[in-house]
Amino acid sequence: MSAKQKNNLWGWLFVLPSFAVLLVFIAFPIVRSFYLSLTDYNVLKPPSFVGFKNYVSAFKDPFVQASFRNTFQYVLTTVPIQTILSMIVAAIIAMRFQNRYGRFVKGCMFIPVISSSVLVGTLFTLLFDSTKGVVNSAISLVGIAPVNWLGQKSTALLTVCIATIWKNVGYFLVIFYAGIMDIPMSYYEAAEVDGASKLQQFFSITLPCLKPITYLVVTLGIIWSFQAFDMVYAMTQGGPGKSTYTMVYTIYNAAFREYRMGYACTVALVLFVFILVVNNIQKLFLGRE
Amino acid sequence: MKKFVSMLLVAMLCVAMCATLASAEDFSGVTVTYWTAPFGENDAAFFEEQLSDWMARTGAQVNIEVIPWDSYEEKYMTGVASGTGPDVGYMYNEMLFNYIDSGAILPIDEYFTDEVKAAAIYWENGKVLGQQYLLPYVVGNPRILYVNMDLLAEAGLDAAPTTWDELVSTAKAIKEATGKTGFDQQWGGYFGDLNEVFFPYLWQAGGRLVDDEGNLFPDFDAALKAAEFLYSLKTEGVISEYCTSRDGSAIAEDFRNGDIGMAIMSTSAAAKNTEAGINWGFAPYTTETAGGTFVANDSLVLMSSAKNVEAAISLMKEITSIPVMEAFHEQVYQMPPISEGEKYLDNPAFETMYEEAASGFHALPVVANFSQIEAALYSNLQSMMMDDLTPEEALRTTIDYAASLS
Repeated sequence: MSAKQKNNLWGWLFVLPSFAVLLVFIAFPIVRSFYLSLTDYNVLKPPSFVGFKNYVSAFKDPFVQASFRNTFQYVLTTVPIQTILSMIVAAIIAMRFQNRYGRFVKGCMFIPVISSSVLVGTLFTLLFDSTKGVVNSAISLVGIAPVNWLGQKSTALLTVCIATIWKNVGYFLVIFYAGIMDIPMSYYEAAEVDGASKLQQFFSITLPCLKPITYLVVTLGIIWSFQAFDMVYAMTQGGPGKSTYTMVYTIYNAAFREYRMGYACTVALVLFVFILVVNNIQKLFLGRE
Repeated sequence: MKKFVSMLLVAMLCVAMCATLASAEDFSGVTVTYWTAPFGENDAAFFEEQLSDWMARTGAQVNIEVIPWDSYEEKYMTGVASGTGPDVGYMYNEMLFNYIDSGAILPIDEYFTDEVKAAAIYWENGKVLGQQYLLPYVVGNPRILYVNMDLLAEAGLDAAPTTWDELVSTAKAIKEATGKTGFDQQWGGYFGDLNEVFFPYLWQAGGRLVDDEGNLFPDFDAALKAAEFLYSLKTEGVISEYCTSRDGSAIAEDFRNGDIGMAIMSTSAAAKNTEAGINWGFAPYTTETAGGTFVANDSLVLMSSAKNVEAAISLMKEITSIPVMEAFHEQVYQMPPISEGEKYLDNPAFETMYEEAASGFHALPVVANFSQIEAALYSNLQSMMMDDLTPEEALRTTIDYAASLS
């Protein structure tokens, strides 16, 4: 065995444990899910092969159609808002409040992150209650009529999005804050010397330097949003109508309420492909470097 | 001497019979696993105590697992699929079809004598999909119309409504007299709420959920009449404009706070209504073409994976025996008796109702894809309540969806 071959062998040996873990916990479930997506399988009976019937059914299923639509709306609402909001708050804390108050705010904003989604969902259900909720009480002070937040199509998904953003902002804030702290102070000092305002510094230094962090935050945000389930489960159960059905909620229903594991695998694989596609599109815009 | 000899013979006979019984019920070394839902605060401790005699008598052990409602069906699905399910299970009608269809539940008819069958009041309810798979166990808890009698009195009325017209006029009268919502429904929950918000009206309109072939709403006109009536409750302002964001617990809370005059809830809600200080009355159901409301028909089932079928059957008989059920109804969960000779220990207010209104109590059918159909129906009726679908569209869309599943 030549030295190069030996080197290669050692390389393979070092990679092997991680590769085995990936194979067992990632690759095998995906392959298995693909196989099950081609079967009629209710867990209690052995799977029977049905070809692409589940895929055809999925694209005709009104619940799947609604869940696709809602999931995209959910992603398009939550990801930009939570990204921008967490970046702004992180920048303000980094620029103005690098003291005990800033640390206090960071700590407070992280509390929702470690709270259970069911708890957050329940809290927001109470806040947005049509008759006794704080939000309706507050808007009535300025003469706005009470809104049936969780009981009408136009606002139910939005309310779920608000709860999600509130829960996620603290997490992304910490990431952005760490990113801002990594930007060399000399950049800002040079900008000061050149007479740049704080706003100009933010747009010309902070924002470009945060590009890799923003890429990470947007990627995580998109993946999490595509997986939206717990907040919907806690707040609306997919209703009213189909207005808050998301893809993962539909997968859960198909698998555990309707005993259609093969069908659930089909929708799950479609979701997987969508996340891959969206992630690659996003790479085109944010990840070129 | 003769008397002594005959007494001796009788005593010997008794001993022999006891010995025979004991040997027939000897399950030494057998552990029977029983999965149940939480009805009280500590169901496991209750059953361990109640079954201690049976365990001592048979030598068997019982492994009782109380599964939270939230994950009840998931636990069964994963447990049965992985071979770690129970020997005896507690199941409700909506979850039965797949288990029976896949052979995970065994028929029980042959293990019960004619005397036992005759004594079991709801034995016939256990016959589904052509065979006796179920031993009815929690039968009752119908969804009834509760009325706040104080609000009713303020409206100048003294009796709960018994027809749809009376329901509407009473609700309007309460609203007019008190400014509070006369009657309300939960259209912001999940599809299980159909037991309160739609199925009773379907049956009251003379309709059926499915026919023998499993077709949904075979009497379409009746279903349509029920849907149109419910829609009119919203459009006429009888129920709250926020009903699409209210779930069952919100409605119950409002009723207990005295904020709504009438609501449909289960009989098991009576104790909490009383605790809340509500002076309540009730009607079992309103009547249009017929009377009708939902009633639970939950059962014990014998799983095909039972390691010792005789022991599992013996446990099922013990759990449904009169002493255990009387203790269950007294200490854990108030329900009407399930056997002849068993004491009535449910709320006294409902005793006559179970006799007089029983013909209107309907359990859900055991049919394929029922959960999917329920989910679609609830979703479409919610859309109807939001004016996105007409009553006819809501029902037709559901029927088409149900047909696409078969």
